[in-house]
Amino acid sequence: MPDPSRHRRTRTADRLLGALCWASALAVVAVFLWLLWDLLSQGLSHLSWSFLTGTVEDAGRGGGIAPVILSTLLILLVCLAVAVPLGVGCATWLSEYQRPDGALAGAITKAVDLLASVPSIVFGLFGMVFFCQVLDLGFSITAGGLTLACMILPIIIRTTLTGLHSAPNELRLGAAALGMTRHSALRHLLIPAAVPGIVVGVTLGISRAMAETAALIFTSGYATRMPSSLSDSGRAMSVHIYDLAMNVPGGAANAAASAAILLAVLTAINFTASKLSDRWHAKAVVTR
Amino acid sequence: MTWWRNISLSRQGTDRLVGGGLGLMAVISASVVFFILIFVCRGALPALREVGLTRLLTDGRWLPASSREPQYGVTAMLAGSLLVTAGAMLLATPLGLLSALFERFYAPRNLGRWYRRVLELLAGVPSVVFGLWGLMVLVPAINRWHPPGQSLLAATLILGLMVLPTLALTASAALESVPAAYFQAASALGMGRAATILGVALPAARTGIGGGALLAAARAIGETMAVVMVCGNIAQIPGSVFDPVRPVTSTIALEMGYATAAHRSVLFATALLLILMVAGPLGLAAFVKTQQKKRTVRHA
Amino acid sequence: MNDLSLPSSPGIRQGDASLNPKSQPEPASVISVRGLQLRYGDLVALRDVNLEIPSSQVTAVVGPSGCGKSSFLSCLNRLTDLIPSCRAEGRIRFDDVPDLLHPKVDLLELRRRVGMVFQKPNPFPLSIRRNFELPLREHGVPKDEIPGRMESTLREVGLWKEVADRLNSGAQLLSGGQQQRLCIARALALKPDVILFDEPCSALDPMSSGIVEEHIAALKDRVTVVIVTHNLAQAHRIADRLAVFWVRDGAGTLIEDGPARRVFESPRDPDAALYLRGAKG
Repeated sequence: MPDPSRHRRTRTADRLLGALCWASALAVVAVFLWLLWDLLSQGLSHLSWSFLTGTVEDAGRGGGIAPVILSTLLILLVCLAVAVPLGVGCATWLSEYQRPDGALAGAITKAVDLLASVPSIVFGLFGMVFFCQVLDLGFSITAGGLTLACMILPIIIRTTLTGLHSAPNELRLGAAALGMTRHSALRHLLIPAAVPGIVVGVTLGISRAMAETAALIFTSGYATRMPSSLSDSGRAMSVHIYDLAMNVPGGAANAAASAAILLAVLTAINFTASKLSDRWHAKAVVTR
Repeated sequence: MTWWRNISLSRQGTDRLVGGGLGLMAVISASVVFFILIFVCRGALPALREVGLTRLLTDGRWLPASSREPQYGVTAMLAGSLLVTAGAMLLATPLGLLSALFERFYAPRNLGRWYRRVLELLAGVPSVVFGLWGLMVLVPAINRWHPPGQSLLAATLILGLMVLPTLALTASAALESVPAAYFQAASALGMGRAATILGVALPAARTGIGGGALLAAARAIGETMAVVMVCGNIAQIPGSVFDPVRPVTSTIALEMGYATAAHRSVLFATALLLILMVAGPLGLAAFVKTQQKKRTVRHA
Repeated sequence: MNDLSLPSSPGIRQGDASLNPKSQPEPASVISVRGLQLRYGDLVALRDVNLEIPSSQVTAVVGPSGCGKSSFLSCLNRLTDLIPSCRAEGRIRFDDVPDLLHPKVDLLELRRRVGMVFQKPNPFPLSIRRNFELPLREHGVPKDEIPGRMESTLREVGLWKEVADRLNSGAQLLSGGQQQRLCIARALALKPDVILFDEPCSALDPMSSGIVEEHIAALKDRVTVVIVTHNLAQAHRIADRLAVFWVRDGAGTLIEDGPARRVFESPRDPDAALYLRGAKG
C-alpha cells in the first residue's frame, strides 16, 4: 500500500503552489486596478470636450491638448506611410522571391531582428543625428515620424511574413500553372491573403508608435503650438505627459488626463489587434 | 504570329522590375540597423579617441559639463542600469512565472482567459504612463516611508511591473507548447498537480521561459521613460535601495537636449555601451535557442 | 501555330531517338521526353525517362506511390522551377519548342500552352468570374472576349447550367467536384495544347469523380491529355496510352509504355505485369 504521509505531502505541495499562484495573480490584478483607478480618478475630472479641442496654455497646466493630438496623428501618419510599404515590400521579397535558407534572406532577417532589439532611446539618438541633422529636417513631425518608422519596421515585417506564410501554397502553384506572372499573383492573390497579418501588424505598430516617448523627444520636439505643416515641430501625446510630469510643476492633473486618453486609445487599438488576429487565426483553421 | 512574345517578354520584364524593387526595399529595411550602428559609433568616436574608454570607466564622477575639469565616469550609470534591471527581474520573474502557472493550470477556464486579457492590457500600457503613475503615487508613498522617494526602489518596482507581462506571456506560451502527452503520462503515473508542474511542465518549457526572461531583461536595460521619471537621476552608486540612481538611458534622455562637444560625444559612447548591454541577454537567448535546435536535431 | 522564343537547340545528345526502341513510328507526338533526370538536391527522383506523348490522345501515367509520377508531370510545365533545389536534366521537346527545360524558355507562355489541374481543386478565393478574368487578362485576352470564353469552357465541363446565375459568388463555395471542373475550365480557357492532370479525382467523392472523369475523357478532341492516376480502373476506362513508372535502384523511372490496350493485355516488363495484374484481380 502507498505511504499515506507521502500522499499528504503531495496534497500540501499542490495547495501551496496553488495558493502562491492565486496570490500572485491577485496581486497583479490589484496593482493594475490601482494604476487604472489613480489615472482615471485624477484624469477624468479634467477631461472635457474643451480639453480635447483647446490649445495648450500655461505650459500645459491649462487649456487643452488639441495641437498635441494633431501632432500625434501627423507623426503617426508619416510613420505608417513609410513603414507600411517598406515593411510589406521587404517581407514580400523575403517570402516570395527568396529561398528561406538563402544567405541574403538570412542576413536580412537577422538584421531586422537586430533592429527590433535596439532600445528606443537609441532610435531617438539616431533620428536626431540622421533625420534632423544629416538630412536637415530639423526638429519636425517628419523627423519624428521617420524615426518611429524605423522602430516599427520589424513589427510590420514579421506580421506580414506570418500573413504570407499562412497563404496556401496552392495559390502560388495554381497561379504559376496558369502562366501568371509573380507580381500579379502577388497583387491579386497573395497580398490579399496576407492582409489580415498586415492589418494586425499595422495595429501593433500604431500602438507601439503611440506609446513611444524616448525616440521622439529629440526628433519631433516639444513645440505646443498647432502644427501647420509636417516640417513644424510637434509634441506627441506621450512627450506631453512626460513634460508635464517632469518639467511643469502643477501639471500632474493634466498629465493624468492625457494619460487616461492615451491609455483608452491604446487599449482600444490593442483590443482590436487581438480580436482581429483571433478571428483570422480561427478562420484560417476552419478553411484549412 | 508573334504578338504574344512581346507581351510576355514585357510581362517578365515587369516581374523582374517588381522583384528588384521589393529587393531594394528589403535591403533598405535591413540597412537601417547598420545606419544606426554607424551613426552611434560616429558620434561616439571623438569621445573614445579623446577621452578614452579607460577614463570613461575609471573617472570617479560624472561632471561632463564642467568647464574647468570635466569628468566622465560612467561606472555609476552602468551600475544604475544593472541594479535597476536586476531588481526588476528579481521582482518580475517569480511573479510572472506564477502568473503564467495560474493562467495555465490553476485558474478556471474563463478566469484564465480574463487574466490573460489583463496581462495583455498591462503589456500595452505605455512606459510613460507607468512613469507618471510611479511619480504620482509610488514616489510619494516611498517618500513618506523613507525619503526622498525617487529611488532605486521606485525604479525597480515600476520597471518590474512593466516587464512582468512580457515574462508572464512568454512563459505562458512556452507552457502551452508542452505536449499534452507529457501531462497524460504524468497523470497516468498518479503525479499530483504541483509535482507535474515542477517536474514535467517547467523543465519541458524551460528554454521558452528562459528566452522570455532574457527578452524581458533586455527590455528592462533599454527602458528609458518609466525609469527616468522615478529614479531620482543622481549619478552615484546607491548605498541603499532608497537612494536615487541614474541609469544610462536616463542620462541620455536628460542631457542630450543641451549636450555639446565632448559631453555629447560621451553620451553617444554611453549609447554604444547601452547597445552592448542589451545585446548581451539577446545574444545569450539566440545562442541558447540554436543550441537547443542542434540538440533536437541530434536526437531526431 | 506559335513559336517560342528559343535559342537554336543545343546539339542532340546521346541515347536519342534513333537508338531508342520506344520511338517507333506512332501518332505524331506533341511532347517527347529524352533522358530526363530529376533531382531534389542529392536525391534522384527520376532517372532516364524516355517517353513520347502523342497529340490528341489521353496518356495515363500509373505506378506505385513515390515512383515520381507527379514529379514527372511537373517537369512538363516546369513547375519544378518553384521547388528550391529541384533540378531537371535531359531534353523535353514540346511541339515547336526544341527543349522546354532550357532556361531561356518563356515560362509564362509555356504554362499557358501546357495547362495543369491539381489533385486538390485550387480555385482562387475569388468569384467564379474573377477566376477566369485574372489569368485571361494576364495573357492579353481582350476584355470583351472573356465572357464568351468563360461560358464556352464552362459548358464544355458541364458547369455552365450550375453556375450561370452565380458567377459573381465565391468559387470556393462550390462543391469539390464543381471546383475541380471549374479548374479544368479555367485551364481550357487559355486554349492550351496539353493539359496535365495530377490525380484529379482522388480528392473527390465517387459521384463527382465519375463526372470529372467523363469530362477529361471528352477533352481529347481538343487537347492532349496527360493524366497521373492511382486508379487503374480509371486508366483503363479513359487512357489511349499507358506509361508505367516504377522505382528502380532508389529512383523512379519509366518501365513500360505503349497503347493502353496492348500494355494492359500483354505487358513486357515483369514488374509492370505484376502491378497491372494486381489491378485486374
